[in-house]
Amino acid sequence: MPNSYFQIPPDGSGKKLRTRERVIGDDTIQEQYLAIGGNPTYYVRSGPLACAANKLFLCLFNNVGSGQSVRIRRLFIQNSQLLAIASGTAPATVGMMEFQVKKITGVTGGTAVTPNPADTTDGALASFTAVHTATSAVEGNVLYSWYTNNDEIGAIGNFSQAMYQQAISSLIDGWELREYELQPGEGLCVKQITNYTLGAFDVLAVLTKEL
Amino acid sequence: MPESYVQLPVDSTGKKMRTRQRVISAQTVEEQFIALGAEPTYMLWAPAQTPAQNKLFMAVLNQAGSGQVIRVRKLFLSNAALAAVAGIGLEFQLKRISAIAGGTAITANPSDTTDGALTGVTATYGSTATEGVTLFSWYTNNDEIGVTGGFPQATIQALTSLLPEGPEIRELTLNPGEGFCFKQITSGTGSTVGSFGVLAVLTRST
Repeated sequence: MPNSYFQIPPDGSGKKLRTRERVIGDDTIQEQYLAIGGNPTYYVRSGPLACAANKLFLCLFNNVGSGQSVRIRRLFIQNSQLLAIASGTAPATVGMMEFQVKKITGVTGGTAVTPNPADTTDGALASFTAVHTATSAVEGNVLYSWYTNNDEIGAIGNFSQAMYQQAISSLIDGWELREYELQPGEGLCVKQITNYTLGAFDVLAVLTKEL
Repeated sequence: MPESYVQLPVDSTGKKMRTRQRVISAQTVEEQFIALGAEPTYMLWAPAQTPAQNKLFMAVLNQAGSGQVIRVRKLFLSNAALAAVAGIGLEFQLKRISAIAGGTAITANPSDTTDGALTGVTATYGSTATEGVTLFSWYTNNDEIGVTGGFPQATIQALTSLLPEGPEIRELTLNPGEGFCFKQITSGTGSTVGSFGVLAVLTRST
């Protein structure tokens, strides 16, 4: 791949596109600067919640008629059980458990949680419903399951599972992958499936409002 | 998606835009080089501190009237307990703040000294603050980092920025009069042993 260039007309008198000038071989060349723009970004957290079968840890719903599209950029399921818990008789026991990330088209009840903007100049995320412990949701397809256990996070450093889990978004992302997008009237929930009542989890979602 | 190209006018006499030349589908094409512009970048290290409930391991405030925007690009919690302790599970919270009182000053060291000092910003540890919303929690323990490689949690944590980031995600932004703190929440037996340092990486925009 030889170095090369294309040569533009001499500078005009209009706006100035930023470049950096380098000498490659015998040629003085320009490399144009590129800026990557972020969209208004919001953190939404359930806060630590005790486990329970079918509990909706976090429901996110882009209200009907909102006129906006919201993308879920990150979704972290964080083990928040700080104190030791012991195996007992199910459901009050420690064990492997399943969460599901599901589509929803409506949500009822629950405790409102605020999407906090990463940049306050972006203002609040309007026409959007975010709740933990919803009474119910109109549930749709399962997007995927997430498997873990409800054991405490561990008081020593060789129990690294919880650290991995909270540091890695459960949502798949990458170049040319479309983010999970909530059109008006669409939503998503994180739901506990397994019937255990010990332990606690905190769900953190990172949303962007598309402009 | 078939390969394609846009054909430019014949080279003119002005500046030269750098490319690399490749042959794709029997066509000799140019791929343009770009540069990603970096902002003045500062590392703020709050040294190892002993845990205590409500302790602010780091607090950073972009002062009112500073005329600049500070973006928090990275935030690392480093377990710094080198001697054995009997720890417990701990919760920390990343919170917004609007003022800082007291504490020990933290120096903001520029990645490039030609960017100069970071002025108009207060950075401390062990201070108090006027706290606002909780952005999110971070869960860990205060056990020592371990004398063998079988205790990888501290290493994973120290290498993982707590802040979500990615293309099109806006960074945690501190406008004038805004700040953040990183605060220990958990109390109780075992919550006051060990130690943690906090590293923040900030950029300044004007």
